[in-house]
Amino acid sequence: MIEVINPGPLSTVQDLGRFGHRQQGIPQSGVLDPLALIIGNRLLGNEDDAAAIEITAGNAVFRFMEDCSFVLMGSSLNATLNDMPIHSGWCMQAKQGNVLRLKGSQHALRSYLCFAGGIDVPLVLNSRSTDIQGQFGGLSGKPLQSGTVISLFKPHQTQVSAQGALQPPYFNHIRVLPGPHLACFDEHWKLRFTEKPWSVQLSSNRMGTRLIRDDVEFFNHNIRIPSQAVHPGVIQLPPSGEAMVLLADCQTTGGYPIIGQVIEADLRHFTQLGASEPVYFEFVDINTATKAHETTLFHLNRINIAIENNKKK
Amino acid sequence: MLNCYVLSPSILVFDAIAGKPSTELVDPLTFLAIQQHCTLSEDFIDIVPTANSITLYLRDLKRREFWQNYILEHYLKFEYQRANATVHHVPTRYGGAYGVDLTALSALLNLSVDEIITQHSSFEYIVSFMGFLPGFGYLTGLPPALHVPRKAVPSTKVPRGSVAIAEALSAIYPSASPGGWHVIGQTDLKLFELHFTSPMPV
Repeated sequence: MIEVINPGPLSTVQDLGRFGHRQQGIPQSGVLDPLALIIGNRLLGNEDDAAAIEITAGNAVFRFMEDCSFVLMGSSLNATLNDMPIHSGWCMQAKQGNVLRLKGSQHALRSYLCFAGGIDVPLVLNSRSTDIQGQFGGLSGKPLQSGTVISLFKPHQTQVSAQGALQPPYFNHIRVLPGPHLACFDEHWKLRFTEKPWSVQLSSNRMGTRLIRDDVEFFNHNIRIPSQAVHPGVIQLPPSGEAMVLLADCQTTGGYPIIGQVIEADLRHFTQLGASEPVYFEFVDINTATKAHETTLFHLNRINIAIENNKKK
Repeated sequence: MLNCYVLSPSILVFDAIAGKPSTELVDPLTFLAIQQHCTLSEDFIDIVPTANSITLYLRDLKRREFWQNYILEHYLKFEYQRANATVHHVPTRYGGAYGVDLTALSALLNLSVDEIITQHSSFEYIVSFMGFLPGFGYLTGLPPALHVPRKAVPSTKVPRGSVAIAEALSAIYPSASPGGWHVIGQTDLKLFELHFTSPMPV
């Protein structure tokens, strides 16, 4: 078991997300960086969708109430285990009583704390993810609180290898497929949209990254569209012109123009983009998106091979 | 005429208006029929119909081309199987603290408060599709006299159970949420409870 001494601004239990219920208005939820969770789980011998803690911004402290293998993915947020610095992407062994502290970083926003066995919370609509808005899933639908005790499943492997894996780096250059309502704007508009970086607003959260620019008035509009399905990666343009990239907790339908869709391989970058970070957009075609997806799968395959080789040693 | 576009390698959208700006509502039965047809296949993670579009989330992007062609060729032959619909009565307290936008709406629609209440409560609505929040149904059947654009400035907090209208639709907020619809009343009816066998009664 793990005791939460301080959850920081927002720590939640998340797995890969809640699927198959969108048509009932139930959001996907789940980690903002699925690749980080999958790599972390594979390093620990867990199933890909074992639940972990998504930690936001830092100032978070956890105490191990039992010996436990764990790995931090995403950013380490300047973490220490009993005051010894640790890095993300490496399996660690914690002893009972050890304290894990994530201080925070100016250059990153989120960390994933994965445990051998994964977090033991009930499946709600087939997922362990916390739906903060709907208040279900995770630990009684709530973010972690000071004093919360988290149970873990028994690990598949008695001994986890001392091993690590490289995570593909995070960027702020985002590749975007044209959305259906981009056609409402002309070529000049499209150029203006991508020629300068957008800036992440403080009001951004797990529902979406809100963006602004000093020339945002140029993007004002009064285009009305009927509601249609939306999902993580959709770039909505509300009348204010402040573009919004939808993330894991977003609603399932929306009535703002969809000007683009962030390619799947690049959506994870928003995990680490905090307030006032610049974001550069580039429109690409479907082949680029498919190839980027294949590169991700290739990276995961290489990690699988390395993990299997380690087991044989 | 049904249009189709690829939003991402594994996401297909069929749309009656092809992304043109419009608030016109097309018969949603076309999309519900496509939904019923696609539900029979194991190829989809999620299928989300709305009033004039349907979005298909594919497990395997290699199946995209098949479904794109199949639906465009066959959708006219799909028939919507109307299930034995249940009629739900929604006890609603209109106006005052329960419907904070009712007075302003009366001026906007040039109808008295009583007329709005009478009109809103004398028709049967159909849950055409779900979305926005767990348990939020988009109800069609709002009388034309009550059609009204969304609020210019959305409320930061619409209370749970709020009965609201916008465009040609009515809805009930199943949980507290920011929202841009005009709130005219409130109900105690619960729309989303996880212990329901199906999470929603509608």
